Amino acid sequence: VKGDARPPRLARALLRRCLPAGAREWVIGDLDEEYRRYRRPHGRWSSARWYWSQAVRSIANASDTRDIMTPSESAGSIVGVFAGDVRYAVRSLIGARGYTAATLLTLALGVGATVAIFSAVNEVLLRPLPYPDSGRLAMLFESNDERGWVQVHAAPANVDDWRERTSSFTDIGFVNDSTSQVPLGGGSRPAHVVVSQVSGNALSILGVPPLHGRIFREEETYDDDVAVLSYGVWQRLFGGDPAVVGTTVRLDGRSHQVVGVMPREFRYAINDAEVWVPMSWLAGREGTVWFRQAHVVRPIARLRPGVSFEQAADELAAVATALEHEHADTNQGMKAGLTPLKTFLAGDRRVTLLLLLGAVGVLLLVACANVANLTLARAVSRQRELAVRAALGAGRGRLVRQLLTESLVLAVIGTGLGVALGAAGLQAISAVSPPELDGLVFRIDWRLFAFTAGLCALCAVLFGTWPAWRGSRAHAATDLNDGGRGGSSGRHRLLAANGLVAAEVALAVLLVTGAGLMVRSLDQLRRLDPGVDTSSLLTFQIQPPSGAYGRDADRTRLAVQLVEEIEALPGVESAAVTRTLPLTGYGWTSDFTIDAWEPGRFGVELRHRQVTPEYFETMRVPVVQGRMFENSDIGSGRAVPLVVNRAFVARYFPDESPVGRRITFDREPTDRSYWYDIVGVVANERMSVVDEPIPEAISHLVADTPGILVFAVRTAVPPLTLVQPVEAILLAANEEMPMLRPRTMDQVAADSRASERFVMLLLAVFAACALILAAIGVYGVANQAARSRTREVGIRLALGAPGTSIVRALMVRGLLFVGAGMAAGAAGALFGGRLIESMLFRVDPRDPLTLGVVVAVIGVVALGATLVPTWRATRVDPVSVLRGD
Amino acid sequence: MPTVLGEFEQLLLLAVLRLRDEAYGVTIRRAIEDATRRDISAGAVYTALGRLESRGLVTSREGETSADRTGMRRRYYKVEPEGARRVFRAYKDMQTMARGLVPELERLAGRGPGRRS
Repeated sequence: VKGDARPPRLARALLRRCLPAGAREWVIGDLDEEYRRYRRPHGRWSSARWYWSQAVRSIANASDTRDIMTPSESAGSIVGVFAGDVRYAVRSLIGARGYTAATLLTLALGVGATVAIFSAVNEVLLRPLPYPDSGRLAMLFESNDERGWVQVHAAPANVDDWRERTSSFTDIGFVNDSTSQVPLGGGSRPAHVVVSQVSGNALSILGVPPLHGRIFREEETYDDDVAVLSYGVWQRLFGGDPAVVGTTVRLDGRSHQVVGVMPREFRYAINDAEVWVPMSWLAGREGTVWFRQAHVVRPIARLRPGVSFEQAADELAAVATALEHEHADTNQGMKAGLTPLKTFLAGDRRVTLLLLLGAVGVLLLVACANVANLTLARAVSRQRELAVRAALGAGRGRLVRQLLTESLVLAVIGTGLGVALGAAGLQAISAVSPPELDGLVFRIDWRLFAFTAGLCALCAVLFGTWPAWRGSRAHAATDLNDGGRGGSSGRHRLLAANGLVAAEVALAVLLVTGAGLMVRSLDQLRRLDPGVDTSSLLTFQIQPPSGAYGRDADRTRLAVQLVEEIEALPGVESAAVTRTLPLTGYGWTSDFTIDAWEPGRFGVELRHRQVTPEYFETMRVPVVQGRMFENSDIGSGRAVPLVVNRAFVARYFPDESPVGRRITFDREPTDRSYWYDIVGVVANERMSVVDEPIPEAISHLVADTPGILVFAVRTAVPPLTLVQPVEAILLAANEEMPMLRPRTMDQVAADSRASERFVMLLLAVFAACALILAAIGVYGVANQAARSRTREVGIRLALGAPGTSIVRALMVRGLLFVGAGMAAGAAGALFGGRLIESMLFRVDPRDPLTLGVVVAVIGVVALGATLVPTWRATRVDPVSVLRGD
Repeated sequence: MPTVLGEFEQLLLLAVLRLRDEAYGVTIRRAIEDATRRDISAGAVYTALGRLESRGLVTSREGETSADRTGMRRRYYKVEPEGARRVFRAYKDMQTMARGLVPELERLAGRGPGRRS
């Protein structure tokens, strides 16, 4: 017998559990024996299906069907009785197809959406980071109200002082949170790896020991010749050979000794680096003003045991205040603070995910209300059946058990569907999630799943068994006589049902409004003018290997050379190099002052950008005043020219022209200050998704720091058709310099809205679900209300009332509740809008247009859902209705 | 008067008789499935056999196991004289009632000479 020829394990376990002891051994033995014979000729799936079908039917058959209604005397086991109940429940549910389908759909949507979103939330916000005692890890940052800096990178010199003067931390290290993609030589094949720079103690702070070798030592912080590999790189490029430790590899054109390999699960939380190297680019700058001026590192620290985040924050703030006095030129207004690493990493996603969690919570409420409603409605239609059975002697316990079983069967199937839907939903979320959520593994959280399923099941069970409690003998007589309308139970139930429907409608209004606001916001973002002509532009990045292009001049020459070669390609109109594209984020900022300003006057937060002269022509950014700088300006001996943007002029030169003025990037100019000539003014570009363009100074690209260069190529042909010829040029210049992130500028613009689109998409899906559920709810209640008045309708018709007036009369009550629900929902949306305000762009959270459209749409849906069943109820033949009594 | 045998019970008794010493769950189920083209669950076979056993129409004994059965033993069945009498009686009744009706039945069931060409 082959090892894989075992019958489906779950089915077999079910058989073991559910079969009565007397038959267990024979039945399972028989099925196993036959399965093995069946397996080979029929294949795996067919045999599994056969086994399952046999198992299910054998369990159902194992109790004598005739025992079902008299369980206590039955000779079968408890399980047998239960199986009988289940069979009866399934039969009765199949009989009520509409009810069953609606309830299952509701449960699946509610459970599925909740499981999917909560799993994402859990992953990002709740699950502890995978480091020992990770709750004590903190991210430190600096803030400056004067400059509008919130939780920004720290200056290395400040971090050094914090480390020396505080006692709250066991250690403070720092990392460069941006990574670079560099060539790695010395492995089994040439490849590019993602490299991150860390201080000597940054790895040890996380507390994860290396798999092989060692991690960096404190004194290696500024070394440039050691590296630690991730497990992935070690496996991929070094065949998982532990002997790699101690060998030398070429990283970015320089020799590095591999000192260690990290374990498989290890990720440095802040980025997705595959290789870690020390902070060599800071080497030699210690003690300079720059070291305290340049906010370039992310400090990471571990709290000493027993020290709270508040205590640490107080101590850090005190040190920062002292530093303000000691270094007034660089540290004025500079505060220091910290936040748990987990919170920091969640960042903006926190708001997004909490919003989605709220939305999905609302959806779950709607689902519960719907289950309650559907079940109540069904209960009423069975009141007579139950009354008859009670009258014939069925005990209350028996009836409760029966209804309970039905509810449980529904809950189990619905939850199963929900899990399947949730798993599929998670896949979909991962597929469309924006870059900020990259690197996350979405997992189904089974605790939450149990909670959600439990809630839905409780809902089903409570409302499902309620009629059986009512259906005790005392009520039997009234219920038997109660032909429908007029009985007090009917009136109470309709009130409850209408109340539930009103709540559903209100919640649906909330969700649909939220989705509507996001749609409007996305539309505003789409209309945002980036200041450049985004069509027919190819963009990409390169990472010049620092071995070949170690000096500023090398890199600058490379940029100029590549631009020339690319412009020579057919289909290329012009090409330019920059360090950052519009809509992709901020660059560096600094203080500045102007030669003509009175002493002591300065500006803050002027953003710097470096571009080659062709940039403005390539991006179609007009020069509105003066001239552009040119290649001939470089090295001409004259002061270096730069241009400013209109936002700068508007803020600092509202009444005069800045052209001809000189500018320096110091608060108080000294003899060593470097002065630039302002030679022109260009139109505004939006470098990030912000309301108002920010003042900028744009100078000639001198590539004075290593790192990526960004290219923009204006084309006369579809941009992506140029990827191959351009990459050929890059590789011809240096074979270790592939094209990175080729995208059209239109894609860049679309990617800048990815996060909003993601939230919008999910909210829209939830809103659609809520709308569908509310419609089901409204329909169900209207249907019940209309049916319970069939006799009345018949009488009215017989007396000659026109159908339309009857429809009106029947609809009024239900629509009153729907209207109340809509009003409550609209009020909630007006108050609750503030919760998503931070997600909105140029849209008032109380936007009347959105709310109006939402109310109209939901109104129409509710009207339709009421009208259809009511209208159908008036299509009765009055004669047959009256004869029916 | 003893209770009348159900149709499934008759099929079971005949299958057990036909299989002689080899009558256990798998073979019984197969025999009925092959003869009637009906899909029958293993559970149903034992439920019905259990009922027949409690009425004294069949007896059973525990048998051996095999590698195929993951250590589960077989249960073999044997028809008691009373069981044979009852199934024979049922068969005779059936035959008596059907006498002379076969051509008509074949025609009505759609398998008559009219369809045969």
